[in-house]
Amino acid sequence: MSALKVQTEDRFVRAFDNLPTDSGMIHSLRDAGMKSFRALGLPTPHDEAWRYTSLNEMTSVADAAVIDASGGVVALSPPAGIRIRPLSQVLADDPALASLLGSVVACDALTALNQAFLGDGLWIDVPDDFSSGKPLVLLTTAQGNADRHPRIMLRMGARSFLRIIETQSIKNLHQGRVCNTVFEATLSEGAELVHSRMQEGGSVGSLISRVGIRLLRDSKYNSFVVTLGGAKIREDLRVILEGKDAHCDLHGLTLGFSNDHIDHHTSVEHCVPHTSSKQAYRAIVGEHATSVYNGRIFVEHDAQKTDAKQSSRNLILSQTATANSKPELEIYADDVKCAHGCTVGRLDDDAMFYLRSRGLSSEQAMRMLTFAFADEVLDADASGRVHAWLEQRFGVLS
Amino acid sequence: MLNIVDLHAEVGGKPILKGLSLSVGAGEVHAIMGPNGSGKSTLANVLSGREGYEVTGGSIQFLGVDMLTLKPEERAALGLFLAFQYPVEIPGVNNTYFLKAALNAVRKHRGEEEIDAVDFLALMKAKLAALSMNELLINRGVNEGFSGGEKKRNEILQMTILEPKLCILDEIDSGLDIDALRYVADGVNMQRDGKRSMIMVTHYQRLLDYIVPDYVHVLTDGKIVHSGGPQLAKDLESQGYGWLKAEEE
Ligand SMILES: Nc1ncnc2c1ncn2[C@@H]1O[C@H](COP(=O)(O)OP(=O)(O)OP(=O)(O)O)[C@@H](O)[C@H]1O
Ligand SMILES: [Mg+2]
Repeated sequence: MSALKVQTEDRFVRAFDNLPTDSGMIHSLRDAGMKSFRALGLPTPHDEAWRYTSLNEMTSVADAAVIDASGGVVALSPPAGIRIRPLSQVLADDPALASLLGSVVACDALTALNQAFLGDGLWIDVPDDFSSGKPLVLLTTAQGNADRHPRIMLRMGARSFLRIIETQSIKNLHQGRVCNTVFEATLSEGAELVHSRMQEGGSVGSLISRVGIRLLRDSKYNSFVVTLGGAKIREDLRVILEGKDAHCDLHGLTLGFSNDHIDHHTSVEHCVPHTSSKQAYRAIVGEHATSVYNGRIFVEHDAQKTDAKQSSRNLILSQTATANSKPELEIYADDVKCAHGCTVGRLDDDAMFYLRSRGLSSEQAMRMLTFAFADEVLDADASGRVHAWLEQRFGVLS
Repeated sequence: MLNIVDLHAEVGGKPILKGLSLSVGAGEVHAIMGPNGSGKSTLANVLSGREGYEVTGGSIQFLGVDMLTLKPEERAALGLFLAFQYPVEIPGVNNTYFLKAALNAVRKHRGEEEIDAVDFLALMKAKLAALSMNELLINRGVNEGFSGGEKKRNEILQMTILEPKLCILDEIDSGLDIDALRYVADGVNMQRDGKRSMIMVTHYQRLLDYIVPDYVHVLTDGKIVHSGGPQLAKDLESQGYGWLKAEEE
């Protein structure tokens, strides 16, 4: 076990040594990243947060990772008015900005690894009062026998509004390779971000996604993440509510079949009085798939009048599928509204029979009931794209 | 059309149907009456092929086919329709979408072409109007939040759209107000075309005033114990089931 672990880390260390030498801020950031990666070591199932999700897939190859340093993420026809620059350029121009990197996401071995291989990620600035009907489309793909460590830094000016539609696809990644993304954003006063993520994995390879959002006064974050299968998908979404009247809405929909393993961890941190949050995650698992939802709500000592809601509903379609769901509440203030609920169930026999008695095959009936289950959370998709994307994959839903 | 011979069936290991025989010809309307718990809904479920209803003896032939080996959807495709005593609510499955999918499944089996969305909506509109049904209802989830009477009307709507050969109506009159009963009965009567057969389970003579049956049967303790014409229902209404037992003995 530990021998394997050393070996895996080793492959990253060797890859790091093979990186072309760079100078300046990027270089020292990478060095620091590798140092902390080596100190932390990859998490194992002994770490509570990784209980259900093993990174053994990443240990299944020993040769040094080929690193695709292109950054792995592209912005497609961004709306006019926002500024998108390569991360390396921003850091070269203003090294002081380096301190912002890693200030919002949870700092663990995987974030450190991302930093160790920091490439040409995207640095996005949205000016004050910006608003556009056009979304910013971000495309992250990883394929072949290469690791990727995409990084996005977003700063939203006061009262600005932006929609991001992000696709993360690692369908053609090779065995043992990882796409390890980090997305960080700070929303200034009154800003609003609608952030849809569509994730899709293949039968091998890992997708690790870290999202960190800092919310200042009156700002709003609306997240919708859909995960359509993948041998190993793990997302950690952290939202820090730092200003009065900040609000976040987090929705998740997981669809897992075959041997898919999909793990969503959220951490919603209420740091000041009068903030609110809502989380609604749904998972549908069939065949041999496993889903995990771990929803943390943290309420700081003086964060009175916090209103935090969380619901997790899970539909299991086969005897061999598993859904794990766990709320994690840490509430230190006393004047707080906190509601959470979790259900795990199977398809309703009465409904199945009703549909079949009208002539629908059991596959059709199952499909209808499965999408009916997803429907409730699909309604919350502010981007309007998720439904279409699912239809592209599964045919007309309803 | 339908031939049931000496049918025995169990639910959860408990024998419910105990040697039931019934023969329904094309175009006939049969009413089945009988005390609570006598096995009327069980018969309907067994005919539709519901899981958990185990046939332990006897046979069911529908249009010359042995029904017992068929799945519920295959029976529906052959032309069997059950209007449920308690229709289930299915939030998230849109009523219109569901009905169109069901109709197309049945049409496919009959070797007909799929109906397109425009034609389907036109068909639906016409059927809704005939049943005086609120059009808004069909945009909801299947039976979602429907009142008791609305659910029953929705069953009849489905029946008129799917055009089955044999309809089993399980207490289609329960929970209906006087006007609704009339619309539902009219809906059923419109379906009586001399070829389509019906089995109507009911507790009340009133329904049979609107939909006059050819035969009335009394089901007691898992068997048909008495059969007659429409007059039998009137006698039952005034005298209850007691006298039949006395007669048997
Ligand atoms: N799933 C089940 N498990 C055990 N017993 C059952 C089950 N379903 C039905 N029964 C029993 O079978 C018997 C017949 O029930 P059924 O629903 O067929 O009666 P019914 O004639 O339709 O009555 P009603 O007039 O009240 O609708 C009842 O005693 C009922 O309790
Ligand atoms: Mg009954």
